[in-house]
Amino acid sequence: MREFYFWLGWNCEKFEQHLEEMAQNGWRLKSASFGITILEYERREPSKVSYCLDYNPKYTEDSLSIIRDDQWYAVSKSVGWWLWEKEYETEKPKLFTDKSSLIERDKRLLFILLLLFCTQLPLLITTLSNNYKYNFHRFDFSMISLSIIYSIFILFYIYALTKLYLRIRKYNR
Amino acid sequence: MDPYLNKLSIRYIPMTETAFYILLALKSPLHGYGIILEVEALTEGRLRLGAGTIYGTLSKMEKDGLINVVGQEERRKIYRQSILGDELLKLELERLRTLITDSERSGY
Repeated sequence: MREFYFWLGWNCEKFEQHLEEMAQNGWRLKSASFGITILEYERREPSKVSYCLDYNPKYTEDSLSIIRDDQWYAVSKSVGWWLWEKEYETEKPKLFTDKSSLIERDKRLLFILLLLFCTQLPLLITTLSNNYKYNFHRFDFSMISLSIIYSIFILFYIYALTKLYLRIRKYNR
Repeated sequence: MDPYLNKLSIRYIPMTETAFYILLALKSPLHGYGIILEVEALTEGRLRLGAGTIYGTLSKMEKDGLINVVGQEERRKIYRQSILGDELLKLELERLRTLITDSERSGY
């Protein structure tokens, strides 16, 4: 059974909850692709599984061994994101039990997004300004649509960065 | 007080339970998963630290010099409290004792 699930870096909990509910209803995630959005399930006995998303493009061998020693299994990983699962009986296990480690994960994501934004912004600005320079007197459809697309890009980045920043702020309170 | 210890104490004290129990467990050399089990035993099942929290806190503590890597077993690093970590833990214990004595004096 296949499913497309759209999620963004600041609502990991909703995605994790969704997978856990599926597992309780007998649908166990087998694999995932396209940035963990195209999900492939298989029919299994309903089971209690805890899922946890971690963003860490630079896991050390030691960190991986600690997580695996604790019986977590990496169902999928893509573009720095790792989806970990662990079956349990009574108490639901969590990968992160402390506020500060959740903040660290969000900070890792924030840093990469900021980096991408800063490298892409000059590119977008020069492209846009070139368009306006050469098409100033013409009401060009392609120029307008390009400007709209780039603006959406920039707005998305700003939205993502703000959301993450606010999340981190909320933890600190 | 040592100026570096002072700087660390501003950052680490008051200590979170996670940091406190990791330092406590690392009085003896342990690897990451061993710390999880040791803390669970020390707290009689009350505290089961997450593996993600452990790896994050361990790398932070190592960078700050509170713990040292004293060995390697296959892919696992073995950590241990450093002298600095020991001193920091003692400061925190001192603080906790003061809280207890002050409250007892108030009638609790």
